[in-house]
Amino acid sequence: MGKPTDLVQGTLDLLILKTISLEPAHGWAIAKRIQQVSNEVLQVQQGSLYPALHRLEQQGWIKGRMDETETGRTAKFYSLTAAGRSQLEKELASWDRLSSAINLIARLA
Amino acid sequence: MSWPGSRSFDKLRLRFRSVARRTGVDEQLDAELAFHLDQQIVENLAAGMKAEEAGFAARRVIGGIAQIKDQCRDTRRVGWIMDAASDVRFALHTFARAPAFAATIVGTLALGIGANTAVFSIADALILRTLPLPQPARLVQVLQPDGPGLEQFGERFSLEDYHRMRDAPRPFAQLAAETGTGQTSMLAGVSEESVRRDSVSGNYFGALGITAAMGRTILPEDVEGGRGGVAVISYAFWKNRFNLDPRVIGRSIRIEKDHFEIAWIPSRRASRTDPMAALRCE
Repeated sequence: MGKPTDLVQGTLDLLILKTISLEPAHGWAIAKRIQQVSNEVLQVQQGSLYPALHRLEQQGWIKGRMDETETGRTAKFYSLTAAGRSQLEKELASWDRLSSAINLIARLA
Repeated sequence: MSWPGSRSFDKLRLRFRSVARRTGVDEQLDAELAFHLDQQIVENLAAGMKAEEAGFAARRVIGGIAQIKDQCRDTRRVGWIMDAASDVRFALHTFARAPAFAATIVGTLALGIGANTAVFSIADALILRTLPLPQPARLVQVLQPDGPGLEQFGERFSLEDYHRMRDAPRPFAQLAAETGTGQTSMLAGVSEESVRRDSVSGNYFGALGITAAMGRTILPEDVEGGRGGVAVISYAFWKNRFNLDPRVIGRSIRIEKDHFEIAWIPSRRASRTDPMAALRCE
């Protein structure tokens, strides 16, 4: 397995929204889950993760709440809002369009 | 689905929080990033690193904590400005698309604000502000029944009635008289103008506790000695007509056929807006 790949521009929002759509999670868990689910291919840099989380919160798509972790530490848990859920659907649809378009070119052209 | 406004409300709440509770937001951000760093250290330790090395490596992976904090703060601040700008743009587009609607909205707001301001100005003057006198609560107006029933009251008293009440020990500490004589013409210097004039008793200003902005205090002797002919002008009139010229004291003015000497000017706080109050005799 090679070096973790940098994220495609603009896909971080989609990954974050999708990751917390199942259950609320703190920043660390979001980064880990993305890394694990992608079989260690995708790695989210902390330098872009936290600004993205704050931006999404500012947009009203996710909501942060201070809460205790299983180990008794205080962390900020992010959850999807109703607006975030519909934003996730939009981003998924546009990702499908984009990736199939790229596939078309990569495989056929 | 939530109601349409709830997202805007959330955004508003967050903005408010970022602005009003900057420290709270910063503390949360600190806790958030500290937690992340600790998790990284735990992971490094589990991978078999020594404590010191684990901490160092964790910090290297995360990168500049201060930098991340700055970026998060910028996100919030820039988001605020960008949101406001796009809100304004959206509003202008909407207005441009429906000018009649926009005009109606603006008109409604203007009328509403105007009406409220007008009502509040009256309520402010009548209810909220006390009279600009030292003891407004102890001030009463004396009236007497005017007509057969007790429904109507008049302000008219004979001079004898006034003297009797004034000289009685009770119930008033002091009693002063005032007669409104309405609009009248006054000649000061070369120009003649229409002013509102009241005649008051010699103890009027003393009883109300009004202090002088300029000139000597009017004494009951001014009128009771039969001298008469002393006038008081309001601060506003002094300002508008005489430009606050101190030499106005002692100057002669003519009101209708009578001559008066300007004796003093009440302080601005106590001043009424009527141009002039003239003192004559009891």
